[in-house]
Amino acid sequence: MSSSEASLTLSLDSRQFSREAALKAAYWFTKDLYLDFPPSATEHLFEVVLRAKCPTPTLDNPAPKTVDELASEYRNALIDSELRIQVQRETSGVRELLLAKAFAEAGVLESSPPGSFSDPVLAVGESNRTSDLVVIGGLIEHNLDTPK
Amino acid sequence: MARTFLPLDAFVGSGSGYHLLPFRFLRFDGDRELLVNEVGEYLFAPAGTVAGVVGRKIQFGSPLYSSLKAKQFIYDSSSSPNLDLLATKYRTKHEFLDGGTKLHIFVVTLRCDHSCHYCQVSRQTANRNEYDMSIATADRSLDLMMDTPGTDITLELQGGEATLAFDLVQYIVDHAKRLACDRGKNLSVVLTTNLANIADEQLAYLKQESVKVSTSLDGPAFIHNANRPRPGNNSHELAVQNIERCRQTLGTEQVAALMTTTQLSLAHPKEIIDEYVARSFHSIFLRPISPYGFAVRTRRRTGYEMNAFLKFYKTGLDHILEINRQGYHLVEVYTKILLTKILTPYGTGFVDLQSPAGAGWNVLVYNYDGDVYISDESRMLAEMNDFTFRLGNVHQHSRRDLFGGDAFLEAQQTSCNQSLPGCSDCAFQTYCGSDPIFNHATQGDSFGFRPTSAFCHRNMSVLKHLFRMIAENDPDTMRIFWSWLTDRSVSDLGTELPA
Repeated sequence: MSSSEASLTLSLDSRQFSREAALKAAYWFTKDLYLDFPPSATEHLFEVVLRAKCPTPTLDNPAPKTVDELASEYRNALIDSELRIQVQRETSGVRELLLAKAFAEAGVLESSPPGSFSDPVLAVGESNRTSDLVVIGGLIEHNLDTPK
Repeated sequence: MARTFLPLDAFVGSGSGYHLLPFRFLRFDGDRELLVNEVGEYLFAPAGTVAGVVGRKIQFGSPLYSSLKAKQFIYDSSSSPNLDLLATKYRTKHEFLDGGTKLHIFVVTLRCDHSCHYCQVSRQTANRNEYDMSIATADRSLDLMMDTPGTDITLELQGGEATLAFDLVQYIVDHAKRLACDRGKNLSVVLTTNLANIADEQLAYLKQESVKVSTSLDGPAFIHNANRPRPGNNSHELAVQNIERCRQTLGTEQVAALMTTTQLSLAHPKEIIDEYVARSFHSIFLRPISPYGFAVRTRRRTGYEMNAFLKFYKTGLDHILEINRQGYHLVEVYTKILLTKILTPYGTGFVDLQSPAGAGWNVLVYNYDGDVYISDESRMLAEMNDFTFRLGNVHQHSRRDLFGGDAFLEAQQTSCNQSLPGCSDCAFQTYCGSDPIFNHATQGDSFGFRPTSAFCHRNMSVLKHLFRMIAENDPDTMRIFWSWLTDRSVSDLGTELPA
């Protein structure tokens, strides 16, 4: 981590935090910060530059958070963001199947989904046999082993 | 005949690992996380639980493991993902999508005798007939309304002040009922009126046709009259007097009142609520002012920051709960809407808190001039020369044109909170909604920017407040909440409450 008065650079290990998680966490901080994601020349490392929008007190914001404080909050948010991405990655197939079933059974799809609702739902790591492909509503055409 | 069961280990699983089901979460406070699954079932758990769940660190057979499994955050070898059950729950939560647009608002006239500071409607003086809906426009609007695919539809007649064009109201109601009979629709009719000029023969007609009445009551006289000026400064006197006349003629359940919170209201939540009790209402909707119409032009007089409204809401809710504890059944409507989503399998028909947004899907507005909008708020934007959400005109466009046009499709792009930045990961997504019109009006684009959104701030704050109360699990408070959800008195509920 390096910092100047109103900006700070975080170096993150992409094996620990994905750029997607860093970007998603950044969204909520764009109210108070300018965030840059400069290109990285180092494998497994990328940088996030945080620069305060309002580093000096004003009448509207008499006690603005410092960049250090915001960076600490950002790092906590990054942990949550990474967890959310992991949950989404593991459950996106099941989620799509759930929605397909919910709306197909409600009779609101324009055409009947191929396959059967009794098709097996495979969890991550259970099988990689092509015969276990799940094809419901045309939404899931990949084995659930394979990250999307 | 005796039945034989499989051995115990057939039911308890092997402990060889578990898999995740879709859920979202937030750090609720220092030592707890709130997990919410795809269908809105929630679980409070110790801080670090989600990391433990994802890292497969939750001990098989522990109480936490059992809770996560029972509430369908995880599954293991003894429990299939139970997708059929989850799909049923999901469909139940989204039942509001079934049947197409349910609420059809007809703006029969822009004429009005009031000059309310916060009015969403571009009122005109009461003697300008060019702002009344024509018969041809009414006919064509009714045809479009009847083309909606569902069978249960509500026709809401509003203004301006709709009673100033009562002959048109009668024409539309009579014609709508004939068409509904022909087309096999279940039609409900609501008249939105300030009641200031309601005549006996008008009330008799409303009774004859089973038309419900929705009116405004902003609180005691000093607030109501300040918010709702009219010649004679007697809006409150006329409202309370005519609410009673309506009840006597139509029946108590046929008359509802809404309040709008202005700057003046903020310091008087208890007085406003007490006024509703004094007038024998059993529900009150603590509503913030909308950022449209005259409310924009009078922002200095009527407007306020969302934090001020939230303070008003929380003080008001405490007072309402106290009134319930004293034995008077009084529901806060917004709280009930959210509790329905949190504590029951059901969604609600409340169009301002749906995803996809209720605008268009569940409500259409037919303006006096034949223009069709996806909500009353979008009509108000048009009165400010912003036609972003105008779908078309009843004389030029079919239902297919209205729903297949750019205005509707562009609004739909931003109407699902499942795909909006900031919302897609939010633990409260299932309970909340999206409001592209509010975003457009307040932030300049219909996607909105959640970190500074008043819509997001309000709903996050109210939901956190309600979840705190649920976590505290005070028996009296929870009994009151369940009395609201089941439309029963607290004394009728007994002592057992759903888990």
